[in-house]
Amino acid sequence: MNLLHIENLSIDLKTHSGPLSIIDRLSLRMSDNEILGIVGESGSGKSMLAMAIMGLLSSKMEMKADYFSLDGQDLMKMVPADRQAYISSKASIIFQDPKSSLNPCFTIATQLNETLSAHGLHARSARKQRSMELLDAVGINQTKKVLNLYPHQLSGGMNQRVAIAIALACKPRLLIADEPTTSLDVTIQAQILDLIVNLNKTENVGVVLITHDFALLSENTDKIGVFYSGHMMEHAATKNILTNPLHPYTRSLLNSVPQLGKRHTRGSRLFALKGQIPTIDKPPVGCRLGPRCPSAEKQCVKPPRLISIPNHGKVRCHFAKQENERKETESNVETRSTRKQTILGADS
Amino acid sequence: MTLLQVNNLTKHYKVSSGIFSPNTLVRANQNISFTLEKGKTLAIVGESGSGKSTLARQIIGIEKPTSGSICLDGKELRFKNRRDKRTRFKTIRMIFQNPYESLNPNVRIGHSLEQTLIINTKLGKKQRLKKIAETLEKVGLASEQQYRYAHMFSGGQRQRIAIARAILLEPSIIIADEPLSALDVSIQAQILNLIQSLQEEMGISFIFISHDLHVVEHIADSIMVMYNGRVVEQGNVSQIFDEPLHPYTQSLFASTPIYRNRFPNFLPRGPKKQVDLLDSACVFAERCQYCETRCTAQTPMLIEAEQAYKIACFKFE
Repeated sequence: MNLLHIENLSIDLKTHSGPLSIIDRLSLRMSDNEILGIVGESGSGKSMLAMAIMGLLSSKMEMKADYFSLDGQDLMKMVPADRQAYISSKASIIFQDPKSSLNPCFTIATQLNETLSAHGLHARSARKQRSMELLDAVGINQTKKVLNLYPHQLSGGMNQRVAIAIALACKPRLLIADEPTTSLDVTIQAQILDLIVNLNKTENVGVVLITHDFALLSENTDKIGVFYSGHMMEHAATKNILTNPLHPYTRSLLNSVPQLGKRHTRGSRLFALKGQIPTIDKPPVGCRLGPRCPSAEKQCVKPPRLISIPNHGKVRCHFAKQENERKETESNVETRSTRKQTILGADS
Repeated sequence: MTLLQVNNLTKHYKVSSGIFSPNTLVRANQNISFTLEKGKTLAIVGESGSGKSTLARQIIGIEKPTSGSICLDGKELRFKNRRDKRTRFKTIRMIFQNPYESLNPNVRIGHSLEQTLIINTKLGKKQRLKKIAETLEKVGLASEQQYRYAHMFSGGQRQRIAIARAILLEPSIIIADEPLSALDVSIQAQILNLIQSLQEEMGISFIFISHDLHVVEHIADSIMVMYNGRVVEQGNVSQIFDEPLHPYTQSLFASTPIYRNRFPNFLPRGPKKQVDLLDSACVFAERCQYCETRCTAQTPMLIEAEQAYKIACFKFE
């Protein structure tokens, strides 16, 4: 069953000069216990998707969807109050900066208790028991001591663990992590990421991991969605995206990261996309990547559709099929030539 | 050719911990020595709080070193000396981490750039404008853009302006304090390419402070790994990236995605161990998996194990 099933989600920002499209007809399916990575530049709408799933969009935003189900129930058919209660029991979110997502005025125990009682755990002893369990689950050792501390007394990594513990308080089916490691040190980053991946296995939650760092996604995720300017550009299994990216944007993102073991020599340059992401009030005509795309052609003034490529996933590009066929024939030729060589080698 | 030589640079801060208790001493940098060659890049790697930024601030002369010396072209730069200050500001420039904060929002960026020239050179008005236009074009902006304010630019463009301000005086050393971490991936590559082409064109030496190992491997010639105010390992790219020996460097590699596949045997950093430490203990002893009794009592010296390779660990004495 699909944990998350979105059909044609659009988010518009209402302004004086008419609505501006932030996310445009996005469709997404996520199965139970999956880790979905979402990657994109800032301003591509990836955080807006997280906010839309959580029902946290501001009143200036307008959300439309044909179908939006979380754990089997269509959210669009509920009245707002019911929807909010349902979402908060099924999904929770971790934000980028743990220092600002915790309240500096209250102890960790108070903040955990607040969440626990909101989810129907009223007895004091039960709440204490449960908060110790939660802190234990996120790998905090001296739980009793930590409960009585304030956020400023903990380090960034510890704060992020507490934020994750609060997020787990409702036993969510879906955990959204919006750049959970960006403000942390490299070594702590790895610990927090391992924790999230472990929770995915032990607590049986689906995880949406939003980031702009491909390296983080490459090891842990099952599927990756690539966002650009409010569109899903490519959505496929992690292995396919990394080994055989069909969209030019995915390819250039992968190429713009220094490759492992590649040291600079005189005159060597990284591949870099020219220009910058278009602003939402002036999206380019046709394909959103068009003006920056290294392989753009005449066709690209028409907006491409998200097409399915067999054995790969979905790609929004006019040339995805051709690219796929080209790569297939290349690999066929290679295998044939290697076979030829082995036969020849055997003969001689 | 050695351009910059730093000898035993140390910085201690006195921090008051209440009126009645004695001041405590924070050792931000301890005995840091390195040399920087002309046209080369030295990368400084370490986590936050390891003293990388303090080191940078001492080199450009914002902070007074507690002890130690900084020599430029063989001549020592004294902290209080006026003439030294001038040469220092002209030859060593800095690019800061966050381009959203390092530019003055109240003035046009041309004005920001012009101040640098007014203070440090004797150019006339026309020459200054010409110089600014040339420099902006060098970093990939149009010369008309000098009449805009900082908020009209995107993050990548602002970082280009910060780079323009750094190269305006044609310095020989630029210190870049995490210049990429506030930028998007595709913009990061643009800025990295710009830095490299400027380096090759103008022969500038870079001190590149970063925690992104991918970028460091790509750009650096030599690397210095810092932990808690001390240098733990120092060497050139191939020494550090092919065969890191210090336990801290190893844990750094083990916790970076993709690199851990290259070194499957390294252990990531574990939780703090409960060991009794003396004040003179090794800085990494608490987290080190190879910690012995000697490590809790003595600090290992930074010793030269090979040509141009130094390590501070008892394992290699």
